[in-house]
Amino acid sequence: MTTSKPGRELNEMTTEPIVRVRNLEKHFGTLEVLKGINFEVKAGEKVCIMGPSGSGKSTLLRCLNFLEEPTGGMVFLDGVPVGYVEDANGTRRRDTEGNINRMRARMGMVFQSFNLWTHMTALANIVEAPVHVKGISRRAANEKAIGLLKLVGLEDKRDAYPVQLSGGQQQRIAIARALAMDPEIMLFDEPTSALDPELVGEVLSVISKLARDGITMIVVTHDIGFASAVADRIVFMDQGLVVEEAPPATFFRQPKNERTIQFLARMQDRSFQSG
Amino acid sequence: MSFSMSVITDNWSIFASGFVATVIFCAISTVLGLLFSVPIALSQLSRTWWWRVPARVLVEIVRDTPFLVQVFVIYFVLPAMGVPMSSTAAGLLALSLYGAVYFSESIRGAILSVPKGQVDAARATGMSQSLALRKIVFPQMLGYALPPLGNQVIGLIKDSAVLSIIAVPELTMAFQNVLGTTFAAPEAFVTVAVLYWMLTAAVAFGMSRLERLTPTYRSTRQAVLLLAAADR
Repeated sequence: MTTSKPGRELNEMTTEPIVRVRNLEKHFGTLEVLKGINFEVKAGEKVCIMGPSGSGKSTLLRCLNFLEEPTGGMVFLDGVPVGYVEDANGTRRRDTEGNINRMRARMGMVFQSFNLWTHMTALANIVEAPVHVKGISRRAANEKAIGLLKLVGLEDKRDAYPVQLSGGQQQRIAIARALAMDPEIMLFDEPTSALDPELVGEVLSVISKLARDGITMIVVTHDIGFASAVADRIVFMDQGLVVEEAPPATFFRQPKNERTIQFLARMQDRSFQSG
Repeated sequence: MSFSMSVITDNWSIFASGFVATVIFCAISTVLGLLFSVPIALSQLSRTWWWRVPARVLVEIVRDTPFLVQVFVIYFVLPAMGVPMSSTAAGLLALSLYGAVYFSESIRGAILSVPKGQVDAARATGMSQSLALRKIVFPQMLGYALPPLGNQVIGLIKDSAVLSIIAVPELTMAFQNVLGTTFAAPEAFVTVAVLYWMLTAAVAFGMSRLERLTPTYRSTRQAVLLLAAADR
């Protein structure tokens, strides 16, 4: 969480954040969804963003890859502003479309509602972006896609259309699609919230496998079990602000902020009722 | 009432050439209309007003005035403003404009029917807007656009009869010529109606065939088959 440079020679990976969010604001008309968000993610770190619905978690995630344009503040990827160019005296203008697209390609995104392209088979979904965005050959992309289908346990579904797949299968294909671009960071926006309870496990186990492989991950989730198992750090948001940040052990056992305590109590009520 | 087949057989070449002219007119106008409808639709969906507003104005002018009046404006007003216009050129222009505007509304609606998440997913992989349009939006849009487009092509064919007013030598004009020489109204009416019907029926059949080729049709058909299988 330090922005100072002195520790750099010790271990560059752990001192220089791959993602830095500075005073990020997002307004929709008069609605202030994000009111000045600050946090950092180091390379290889797994961060779970939690918080009540309406706290701005998904909007924050969508600002990271510029699917939403922030109203104020800035996101930095490897120290480079996302979506804007800043000149010497601090004024900013929109970056070129090409640069924005290249920046987005470095971050894989998985959506709550999967968003698989409905007119394409599972394999075609995975191959599409590598072929047309990265320009790699269809043969190489196919080979890679088949490897990814194996990784998510769906090699037998390569020719299935999204409508033929369960929600859990669709989300695993969506994860494979994002991974096909070799992203440096994976963004997950409530990846299991739209799933039937019995399908949550298969998706979370794929995400946990990725986490163990060391890719940087930012996951918006309501799943306390998953967050405590996978996250290096929990970022808790409420009403458009980061309220608390802590490793899961501390966050779940000794929450400091009043709103965190209330939120966790409500979550426990809910899991008691459903369990 | 007598019905004489000889009216039809004697004047067959007049009907035939009118029919061919109508087919050619409608085919050219449909192709030109389709070509221009996509940019009109995209302009209307543009974020910048200098694309959006002119496209909207054009659509509203053409959609909200009678086709007959548009034909008159193009045939009589444009030449008065120094743009020379033959009846054939005026007819083609009017019909193509009609096609472009009505088709563009179907295409705009179809684009808006593609769920936003489909584009989000495309942009998130780094696809440019134009790549996302070509690879994701257009293929999905086709399934939504073809049924209304089929209706509008049929409408265009039927409204092409209006062009006989400015003496475009098409099917309705041919009918009037036959009527003028033979005074055999029932025979001429029936012949022209059957010829129009054959053309529109062929278009309707062709469009339903085209629908089956769209990616949306194929992928949703899989779902329907799946449901049918589950029912058993």
